[in-house]
Amino acid sequence: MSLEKLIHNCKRGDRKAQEQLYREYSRILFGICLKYSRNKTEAEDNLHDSFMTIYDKIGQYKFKGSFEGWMKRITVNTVLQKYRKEEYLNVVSENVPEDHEEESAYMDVDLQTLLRYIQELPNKYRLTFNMYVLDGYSHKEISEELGTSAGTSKSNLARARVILREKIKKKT
Amino acid sequence: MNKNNIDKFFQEKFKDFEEVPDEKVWESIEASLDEKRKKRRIIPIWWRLGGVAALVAILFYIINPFESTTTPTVVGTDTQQVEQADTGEGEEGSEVLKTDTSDQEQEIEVVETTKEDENVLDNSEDVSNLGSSIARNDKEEPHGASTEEKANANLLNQAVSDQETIVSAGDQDQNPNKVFEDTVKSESVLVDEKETLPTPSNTRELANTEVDKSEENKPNGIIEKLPPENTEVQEAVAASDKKSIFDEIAQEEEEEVAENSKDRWSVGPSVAPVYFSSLGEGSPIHSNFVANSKTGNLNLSYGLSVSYELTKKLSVRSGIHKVDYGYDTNDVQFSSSLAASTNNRIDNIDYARASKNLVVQSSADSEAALTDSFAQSNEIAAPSPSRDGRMVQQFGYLEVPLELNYALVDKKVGVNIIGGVSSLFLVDNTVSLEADGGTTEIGEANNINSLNFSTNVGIGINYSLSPKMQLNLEPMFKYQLNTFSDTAGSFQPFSVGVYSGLSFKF
Repeated sequence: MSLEKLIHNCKRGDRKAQEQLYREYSRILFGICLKYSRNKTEAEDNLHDSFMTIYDKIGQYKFKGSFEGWMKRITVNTVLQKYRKEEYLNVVSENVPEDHEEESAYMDVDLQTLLRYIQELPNKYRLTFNMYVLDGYSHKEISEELGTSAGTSKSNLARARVILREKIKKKT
Repeated sequence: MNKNNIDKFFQEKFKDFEEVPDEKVWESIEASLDEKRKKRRIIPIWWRLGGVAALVAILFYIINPFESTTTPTVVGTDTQQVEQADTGEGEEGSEVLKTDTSDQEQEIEVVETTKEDENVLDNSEDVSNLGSSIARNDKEEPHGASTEEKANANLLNQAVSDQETIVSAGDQDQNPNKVFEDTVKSESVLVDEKETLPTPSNTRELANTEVDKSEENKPNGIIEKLPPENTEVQEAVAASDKKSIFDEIAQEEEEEVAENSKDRWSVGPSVAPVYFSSLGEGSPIHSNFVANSKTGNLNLSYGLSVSYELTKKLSVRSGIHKVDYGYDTNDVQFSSSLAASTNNRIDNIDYARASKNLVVQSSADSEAALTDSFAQSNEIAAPSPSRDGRMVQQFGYLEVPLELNYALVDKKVGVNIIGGVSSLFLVDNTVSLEADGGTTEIGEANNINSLNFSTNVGIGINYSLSPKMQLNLEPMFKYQLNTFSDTAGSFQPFSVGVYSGLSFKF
């Protein structure tokens, strides 16, 4: 089934098409959910919510831009929405921590550990780090999404880096 | 290492980061989709079908209330006391023709007067002597007789002089026939006085027929006292014991005008072929069978219906029915495999002991799936040959309906619209396989709710065999709301049945 047909059938609410869509894209979207969530259980919840939103809004997809990108954005937004509700992302700490980096050989840390480090970050740091570093959002976009200032976003990113670096250092 | 090193490090590590989510995530998504669909679709349909019918019935009732409220008033008075027959008769008369009313009233007076002539001559004499004292005597009768009382008083007052002749005629001439004729004469005079103007012959005819009927219905003991050569009219006149004549007339009137309105309860058996099917594509058994074609089965429903008349047009019905539903899932392949692990089983079926080794698949999916499962289980032995057939799901309920029935046409042949809901209590539940004429039971479905509801609409056609007995024919559409707790796809079951039965009023 072509992607276009698949999308079309999903729009009609065809269960088989919905399942096929899930089978094709759940891995990649679950990756996003894992990075942005605090743990696996929450990631699964977020994946569920994301797919529900995707099925719900698939009628609004106008075949402009990549479908995968569209679904990724929905997933990120779903997660953001969840933690935005939960967390006061606005708390500003303008004093950007010193961001100098020591030489360190943390190259042998495995992916699952790194994932855990990310998940352990406080909400605002985790979300900012993910968006900026891993998904290429600008500080302007992040501040819009999270409803903070660009300055806060930068500061959050810096704090995230510091924490991650610390953790990796401890490990190695 | 500058500050971007850590970014790069993470970027590299998380480039193309993917992970396969647990299967339970899809299951929960599926469940949410089902729920959503239910919310979105079922409620509107339930409103559309069941609700609309009930609303229409209520609307008809509100728009047209007068017609349906007058009769029950009559009913109440009719049935309670014999003396009230007068009152009831008067009111009911108003439903017929006005001239009729006066006729009937007059007729009763006539009969009564003649009776008094025969049985209580003394009393009649009293009347001629002391008209007012009679009136007082009358007043001592039970209160229900007020109409009669007045009519009597009127009649007596106005006809005192006439009565003397009647009395004497009855006295001297022992021939009741003559008495009757005299009465008719006197009565016609009365009528003239009252300006209600029925012709004497008319009145007489009426009196004749009425009296005849009453005589047929209930011959009275007094008849014995009469000479054997009595004519019908004579008998009737003679038989007119005070209570019985009113009783008879009241009964007769009921039969003529509103016999059926007295009987508010009716009960009777009904039986129906019911066809069960589904509106949407889907399978309550497993998502593998969503695409398979389904065939509804014809089954039987039978039970007892009870209905209670709220007004002449609107009644509420209930009862209890045993109903079986079933449908086939076509194009199914099944085989027996010792390696039939729990993976191959269908979650929604609790397998029977003997069927644990059955592997059932949709013909479309089976090839791939079977290969899959054999690869997984490393089964070397050749798979036992699979057979084509169909899967039959069968379930039985005890149905308790609650429906409103509104009469559009209320004649000998009546037309009704019916709307309501049913509660269905699960009593039977099997899933079996059929192929080449053989049947194997797989087990029972575990996703059928033990309590299910349906919304019902239909049209009822009835034919009155007698005032007490009716023949009914009711095509009904019943949309089921929550047959299954978990279905794949949109399986929305409904049933269509043509219910036929008898109902007896009491």
